Amino acid sequence: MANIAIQRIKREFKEVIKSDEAQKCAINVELVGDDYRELKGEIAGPPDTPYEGATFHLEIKVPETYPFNPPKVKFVTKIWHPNISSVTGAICLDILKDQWAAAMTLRTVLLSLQALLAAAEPDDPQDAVVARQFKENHPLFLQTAQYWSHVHAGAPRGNSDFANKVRCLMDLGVGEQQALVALSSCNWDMDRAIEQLFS
Amino acid sequence: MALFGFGSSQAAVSNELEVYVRTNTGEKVSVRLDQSWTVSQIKTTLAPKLQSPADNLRIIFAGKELPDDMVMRQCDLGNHSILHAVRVVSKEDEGKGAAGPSEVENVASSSNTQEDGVGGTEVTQTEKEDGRLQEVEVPSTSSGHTDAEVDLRSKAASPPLPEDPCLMPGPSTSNRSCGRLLCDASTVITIQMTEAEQKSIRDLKSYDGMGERPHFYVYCVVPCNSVQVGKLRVRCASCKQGALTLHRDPCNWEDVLQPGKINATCETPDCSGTQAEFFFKCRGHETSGEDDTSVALYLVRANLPAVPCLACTDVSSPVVVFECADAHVMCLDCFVTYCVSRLNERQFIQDERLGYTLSCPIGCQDSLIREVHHFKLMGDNNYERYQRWGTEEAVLAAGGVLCPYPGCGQGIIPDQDCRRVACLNGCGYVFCRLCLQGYHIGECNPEDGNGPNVIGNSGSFAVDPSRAAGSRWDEATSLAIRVTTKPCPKCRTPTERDGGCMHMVCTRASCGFHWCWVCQTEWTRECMAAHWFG
Repeated sequence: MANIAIQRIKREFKEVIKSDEAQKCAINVELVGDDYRELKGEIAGPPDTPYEGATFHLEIKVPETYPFNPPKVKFVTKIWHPNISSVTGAICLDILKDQWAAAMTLRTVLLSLQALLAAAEPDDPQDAVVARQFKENHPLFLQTAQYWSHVHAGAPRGNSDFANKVRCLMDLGVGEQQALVALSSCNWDMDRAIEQLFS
Repeated sequence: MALFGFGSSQAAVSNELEVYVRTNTGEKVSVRLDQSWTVSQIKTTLAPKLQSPADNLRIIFAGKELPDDMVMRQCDLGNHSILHAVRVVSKEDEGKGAAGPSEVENVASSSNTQEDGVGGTEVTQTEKEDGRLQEVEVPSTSSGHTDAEVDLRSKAASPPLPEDPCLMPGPSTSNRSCGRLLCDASTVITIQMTEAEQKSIRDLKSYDGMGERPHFYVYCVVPCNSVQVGKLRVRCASCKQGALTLHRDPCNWEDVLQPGKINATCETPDCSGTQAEFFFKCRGHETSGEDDTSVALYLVRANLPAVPCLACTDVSSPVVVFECADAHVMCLDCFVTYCVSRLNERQFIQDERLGYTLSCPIGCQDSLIREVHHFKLMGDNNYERYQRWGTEEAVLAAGGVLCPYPGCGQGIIPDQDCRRVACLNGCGYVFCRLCLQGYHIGECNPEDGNGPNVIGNSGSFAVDPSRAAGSRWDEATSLAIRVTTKPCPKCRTPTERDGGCMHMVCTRASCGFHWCWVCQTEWTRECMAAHWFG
């Protein structure tokens, strides 16, 4: 990797570690391997959101041409959010694409992603299924997002109703995540979820 | 008139100074002087050494002739500064001197030798109305060695302000009209700097003679082929001779870079030029003559305020300072990486006025680089690519097409409504303007994919056998492109998707079309809702 990229990432790495946010455990980065090509990011779910109490892991890949090109970031932890793919964890955030500027850093990226969790943009581009639920059945969206945070990201509050439904589907031989996706996208309607899974 | 506004506030460290004195015949003597001396005392000291009567000597420093009653302390001389002594042509020779061009030539050549010897002195010959020859020095910045012509460090320490009398044009109180020319790098540079920057330099610089100094930087193509410290010089815009007097001093880059900003009187016989033309020479090599000029890199500056690079955050010097309101700073290495990475992705911006260029990496408004020689920093190969792609973008911007034949790429500006385009001055390929495939009758077939499809184009043109052999290799490439890419629905640039969502933004800087990878049409809300992530 080009020297500039390494040098820069090293500094940004320290910047994150030493930041106030890291002290409060709101963001964190870790090295993957001994070069700085790939990093593991961590953001805490912001308070007063369905992601509160959860920790989300991110995969951060630093391109050779960093910082002139944005880092490639995606969610490793499964998340139910209108701006993040529930399947692949891909993020459609402008600063990670054409609005990237060389002055941005790992810290600003992590904080932007945290802000995205706090303020989903229903009128901006969004994942089809999650978006529809976000707009048409907001309370259910909040519950679903919270349940995903509980299952995948260690948030304390579970949901016994949802847990039971998932277990029912698992008894039919469906994988846990598959069951969760099906139920979540069918607004937790068992019949529709079964239809979707077995048709 | 206060000729030297600078330096008066400085306390002298020591009263004793050793300075060098150069004459217009190339002699160099060293003189120890006391700061309390006047110029006439120096002349008296010099006279025996130069074997010339004191009355016939004129002392020039920093582009101004020093009047006899001036005290050296006022001049802000540094140790090992160089003064210039000019032997005045004596009265009886005056007429001859004015009439005889050979003498002018003679003196001019001696001054050239002198300049080369010193390596950094800028010398302009000015023939005065009364026939005497006045040597006027245009100081450039010095590179830190002790025989500095003009001590810019101390000048930067108390930079002349624009309202300073030494920069103001005005009638001279002396009928010898001394101090007509002051083209001083430090003046131009310090005026560009903000007060805070100037202050930080004052804080940084002490009298130890160490540290960075303001410089002009140029790109020297031959022979250095690198960024070099430059020397500012001036000549008549009409006859290109150096013998002219400026009506006012340049005080910013615009004065220097834009022709016709500064009026001057050309002193060359038979030339009625009225405009000064500034140019730059490289300091890295010995000048090979009048035409040996270099292009000023006006964004490259000495990093006196020690601003860290925005990309690597190191502090280095010189740096590139962009023209945006925030004046973002980037070190030269990062600047090169930035340019090359943008170039590799063809992300340069095609600007109507400026051509193929880049903005500040933060994307600030009004920060496009106006002097393309800055891109020379990328190295010869990249610069060549830059030039080729710049030309291509210009052709496309003018409504032209590029010949799609592999290895050709000839720019063609066809008639408005002609779909059949022949690459006449290039390879001879005949192609359809719309799909960029071999020319065909009827509708374009989108399934043909991208790239030229030579096979199956039944002999509407003659193929050079060697080209045909070459194109077999390219066929594999075009197949790979066809398989892995989809064309931008607007400009048909083959685009590869390597992850992320289906929302594509055309990578060609002049296109930037938002499109959907699935629908291959413009990106819409429906695409977001239906298959944003596939």
